[in-house]
Amino acid sequence: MAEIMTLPPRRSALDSVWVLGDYGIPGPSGPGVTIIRRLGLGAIQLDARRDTAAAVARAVSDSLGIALPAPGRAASGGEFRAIWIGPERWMLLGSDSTGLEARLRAAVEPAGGSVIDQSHGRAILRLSGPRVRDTLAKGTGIDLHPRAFAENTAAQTGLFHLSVTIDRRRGTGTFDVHAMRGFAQSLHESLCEAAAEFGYRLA
Amino acid sequence: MIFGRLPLEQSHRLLTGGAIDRLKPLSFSFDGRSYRGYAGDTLASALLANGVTVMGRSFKYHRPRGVMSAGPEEPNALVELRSGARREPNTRATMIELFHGLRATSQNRWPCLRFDAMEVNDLLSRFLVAGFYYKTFMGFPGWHFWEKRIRAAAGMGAGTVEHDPDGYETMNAHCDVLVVGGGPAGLAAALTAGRTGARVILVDETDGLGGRLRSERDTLDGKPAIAWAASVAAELADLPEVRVLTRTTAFGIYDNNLVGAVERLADHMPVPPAHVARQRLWHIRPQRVIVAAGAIERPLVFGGNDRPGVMLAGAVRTYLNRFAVTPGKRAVVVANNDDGYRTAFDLAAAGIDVMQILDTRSASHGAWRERALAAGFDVAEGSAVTNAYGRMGLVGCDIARLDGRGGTVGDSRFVPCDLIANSGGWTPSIHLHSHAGGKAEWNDQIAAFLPGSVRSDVVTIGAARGRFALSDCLSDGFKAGAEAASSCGFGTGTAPDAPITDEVPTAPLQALWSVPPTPGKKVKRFVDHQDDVTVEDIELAHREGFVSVEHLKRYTTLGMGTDQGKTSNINGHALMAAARGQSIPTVGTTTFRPPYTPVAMGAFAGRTTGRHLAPTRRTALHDWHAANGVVFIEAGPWLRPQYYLQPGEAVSKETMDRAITDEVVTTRTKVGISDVSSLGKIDVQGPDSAEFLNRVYSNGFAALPVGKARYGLMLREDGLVDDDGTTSRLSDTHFLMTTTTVHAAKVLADLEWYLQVVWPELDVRVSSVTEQWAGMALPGPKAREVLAAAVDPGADVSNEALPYLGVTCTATIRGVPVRIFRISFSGELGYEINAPADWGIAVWEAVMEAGEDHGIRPYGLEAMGIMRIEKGHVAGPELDGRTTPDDLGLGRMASTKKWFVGRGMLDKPAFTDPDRPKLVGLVPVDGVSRIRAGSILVDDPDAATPVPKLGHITSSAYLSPTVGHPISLGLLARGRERIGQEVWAVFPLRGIRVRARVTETCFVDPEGKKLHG
Amino acid sequence: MIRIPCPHCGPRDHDEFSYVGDATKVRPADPAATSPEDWHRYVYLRDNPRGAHLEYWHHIQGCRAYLKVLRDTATHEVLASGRPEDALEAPR
Repeated sequence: MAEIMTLPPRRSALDSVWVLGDYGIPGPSGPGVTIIRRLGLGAIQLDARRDTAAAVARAVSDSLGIALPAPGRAASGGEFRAIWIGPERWMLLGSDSTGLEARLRAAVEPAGGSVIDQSHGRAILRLSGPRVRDTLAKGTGIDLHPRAFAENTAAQTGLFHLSVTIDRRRGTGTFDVHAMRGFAQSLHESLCEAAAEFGYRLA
Repeated sequence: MIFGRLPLEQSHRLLTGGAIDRLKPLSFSFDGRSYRGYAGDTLASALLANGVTVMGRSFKYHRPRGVMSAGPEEPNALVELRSGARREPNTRATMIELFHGLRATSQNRWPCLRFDAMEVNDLLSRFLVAGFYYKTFMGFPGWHFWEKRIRAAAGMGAGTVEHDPDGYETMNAHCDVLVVGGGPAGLAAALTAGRTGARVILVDETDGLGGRLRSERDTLDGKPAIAWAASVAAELADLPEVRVLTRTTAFGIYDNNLVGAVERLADHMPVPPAHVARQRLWHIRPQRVIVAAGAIERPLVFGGNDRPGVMLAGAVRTYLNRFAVTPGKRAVVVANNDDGYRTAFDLAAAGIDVMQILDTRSASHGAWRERALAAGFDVAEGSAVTNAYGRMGLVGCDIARLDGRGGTVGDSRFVPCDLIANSGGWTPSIHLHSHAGGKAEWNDQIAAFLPGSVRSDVVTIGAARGRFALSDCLSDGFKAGAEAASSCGFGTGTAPDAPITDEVPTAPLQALWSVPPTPGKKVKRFVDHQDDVTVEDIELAHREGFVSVEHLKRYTTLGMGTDQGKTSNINGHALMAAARGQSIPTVGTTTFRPPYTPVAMGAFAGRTTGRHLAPTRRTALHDWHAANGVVFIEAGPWLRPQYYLQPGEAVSKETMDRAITDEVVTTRTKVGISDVSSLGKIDVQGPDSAEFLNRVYSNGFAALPVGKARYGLMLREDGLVDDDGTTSRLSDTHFLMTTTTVHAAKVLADLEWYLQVVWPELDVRVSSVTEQWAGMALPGPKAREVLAAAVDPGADVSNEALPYLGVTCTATIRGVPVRIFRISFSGELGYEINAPADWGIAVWEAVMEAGEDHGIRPYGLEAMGIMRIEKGHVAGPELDGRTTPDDLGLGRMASTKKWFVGRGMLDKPAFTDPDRPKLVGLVPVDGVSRIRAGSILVDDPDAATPVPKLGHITSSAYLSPTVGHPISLGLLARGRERIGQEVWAVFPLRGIRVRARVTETCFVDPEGKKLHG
Repeated sequence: MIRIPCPHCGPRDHDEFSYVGDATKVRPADPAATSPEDWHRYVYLRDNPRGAHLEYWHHIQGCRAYLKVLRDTATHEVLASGRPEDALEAPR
């Protein structure tokens, strides 16, 4: 459709405060934490019920090639990532160009699943670097040590008093943090203050 | 130079030795005088090095006091540190690490430390016994007069009233094994556990590891023990899963073994470096806790035992060995245990004259005594100091033989001295054990309480469980470390061999709770130095009938100072037991509660102060408002537009009033636009959605057609109104519910409750989509024209296609798919447009552009509030958790055809009482007086009090531009019967009373013609 | 800070949860057949036991599941936790 072609650019919740650069006291090998915004992502919530979860999971696997993860886990498959966010509830992520919502809806609705677009409702930050765990530990009570929070572990928890999803990605100390859009600036402020003593880069 | 005068020579510093850095001299000042110390000093050691013995005044009698200890237990040497906003009272000179430029002042004295006018209290002390103030002044008609003066004269240092300029923060940590205390036991435990690969955290409250090893001259495997500590510290630093936190006090164990610890990141610096918090509060969640917190030495209780120069023997050794400071030149040593001998050897090694060793035990035949005699010390057995002399510094003491029955034998003898090193034994620090729910058990051998009942996950080792010998501490540590790690799945649980010590075996102590006075002398024997509690106070409390130690504590203030009785509790309780003729375990001990040492409130608050007190929530349209003259107002967590200033306008009452009025008038006569993104939006999906909504709303939803919105009312189980909002049916099985901004989270939680707990058989899923959608309201007579111009070609928003309460999800604006709801809060023809949040500003700008020719302007919360009051719509002030549907005139929304949440309670007598306040409108009879929200409605404000209350004003618009005078809504008893009558709206706090006429609730377009136009 | 074992997420600090109320209270299943007295008992009357207490908690900052918790009100010890439909018993 013509109007799809002329869609305005998406404006992130952090556009007005995101100034690229290095801040705080840098560590011995550069910034302790590097933060990037994950932009242009679709975030589609998928709900099932206990009696339909298996059929929904099959439908997702068949159409998108990704296995819905177990509680407390996340998984990657093809161009998508799936995160368990509650009982019989997942968040699926894929770039805007993948048409994720439509594909997911077509796949799961016949199997009894329901789909909600939350793409604009979440601000997603990726944090990496040697001091990420220390930075996050200032705001969350969960244990992020690799022994307790290995790759593809994900948690719904509190971070600086906000409800967030923390998704441990591949690589040492790489975490995606999903927050509600409206609180994105508050989270950004808290993360930056917490990371300042280690040095941080907004990239 | 920071200071005007040259630093004085460090007259009491040994030429060699100590763990101080002589290459790093530091200047500091105390009471305005300049001194010099070294890096590694504490304020106390640096003052002693400069011959300063008086560091404070006591709490009640204002007696000059010197430093008594070298650790966190210090009751006397409390000073004010820093100045201005960073001024901190009651800091212990023994715990302040010296830094260049440190400024400290003594406290609790006037005008100065050497001469304190309040010392007159010492002369009046026979009147100032326990309970004096209450006995004398309470019940007096003038208590409040006296209270102020007594409080001014008492109290310790004064805190600052300025804003704390430093930052504090919280840090969470998890580990397998937490070791509290970096002395020999703790080091051994941390090392053993750490070597297994377990995650270990070791905390120590000082600036380095070693604990007592830093203060003693022990050897391990033939080398100085402190070298062993250094090698362990180095190995710990290299273990990747071990974290060592120095300057960190574990101050409490809480539920589920959460350990609170405070790390002093910058207290040893003049000011914290940029980006570094001053203190950090640790929440540590260990699987196992090993408490190696050591022990605290008890003073002996004798006459004049508070004189400057009377010090704990262990502290004397610390000053000698760790700081290379000589606290005196001629010393008397008095102890009820072998530490007296040990101290005498250290004093002699530092070149100090040991005038006399007094062993209060009647007969001791231990190895230490033999060594002392062989070394030629003058040892007197069964003897003690009976009184010490010297107001501003010790000049000597009386010594006498004890008769073993609380008296003395023969004459006393005066011995000149400027230092008395005394030891009454050691009290294990069982605080953390006690916080964890452990019991305290009395042990006669060490005359102190030991950790009793043992828990497997919190173990106490070393001196903290009364094992004072170095070899015992080490073996305890190695064993506990291995066991704790193994219980977490690391290592084999086998303890390595401990290094060999060179200890001299010790003979048992013999408890001595107070020393009789010098015959014929009146003396003061202090039990609690900080609170000035004497032996006589405890005996008085006993005579006055106090039996429980908890009452004793509160009556005499024993142990209630900032030191929490670390040096005084055992002595005090033992004296109480003696007075009652009972054993100490029978009398018991007070309960240990966190924190172990004082923790700054700032550390507890951490980052959660000021604007971080709660997170701030911004709407997707925030940046547009900010760039267009908005004044924001906090609404719960949200920042919402309050009103908009015109270019060039500054905030003032006039500009605000004008802006609000213009916003209302523009909306009512042309068209306005406002940000309603913060309204709660809940996505409801599933085959049973209609049935579910029919149960949670008091009005019917089962028959709502697809593409239609309906206003709904939700009650609580108790029948009171919970929330309201419109809910739209997007498809057969898909609804979008809206809630008020404030209740959004609660409504979602309630819906989840019904679906998960009450009706799990319903197939419905609910989720918040508040953040996904930017919401904008577009009301006004020109709203349809503006909307028609804004939507992309192809969308039909005519009255026929989109009638009142119609919904369309197919239109686009600038290509953005939007949802349009024809609903209105203002009573005008109106629409609400929802656009995906990241495109919110683009859509808003498109609507603004489309409305330009019609004079559109944005309006804020104030205008919105006025317009809804003009319409008599209820909002937060009316939905206050006390109103029923009928109270609000919404009784018809409580269906009688179905069951819904809250219906079961609606018929209860209180809800059907005809006297219940009902919602009405109220206007000033004079047409101009403002009626404040919160005003009380009465018939006769001059009636005898209590004046019967008829209700209150819930919402008020100081000026309704539409009707031209102030209007308000209120809840009034039998309100609907009173329409047309007059009442008084009074606001007694401000002396305001307004004659008000009762009206209908709707002031504008009561037939609702505009909505349908 | 007590730790509450969420049946879905594992043990979490209690500040991730909100306390809901007494889980021994069962909402009347058939509202039409419920007397005003029974509504009154359900809505208002609560015991305040010392010791084991069955409670509902909501993992509001986590997975948003409601859970049942058996908690000792005197010691704060969490004796058991489970889903709302689970019957919880204190471990012996």
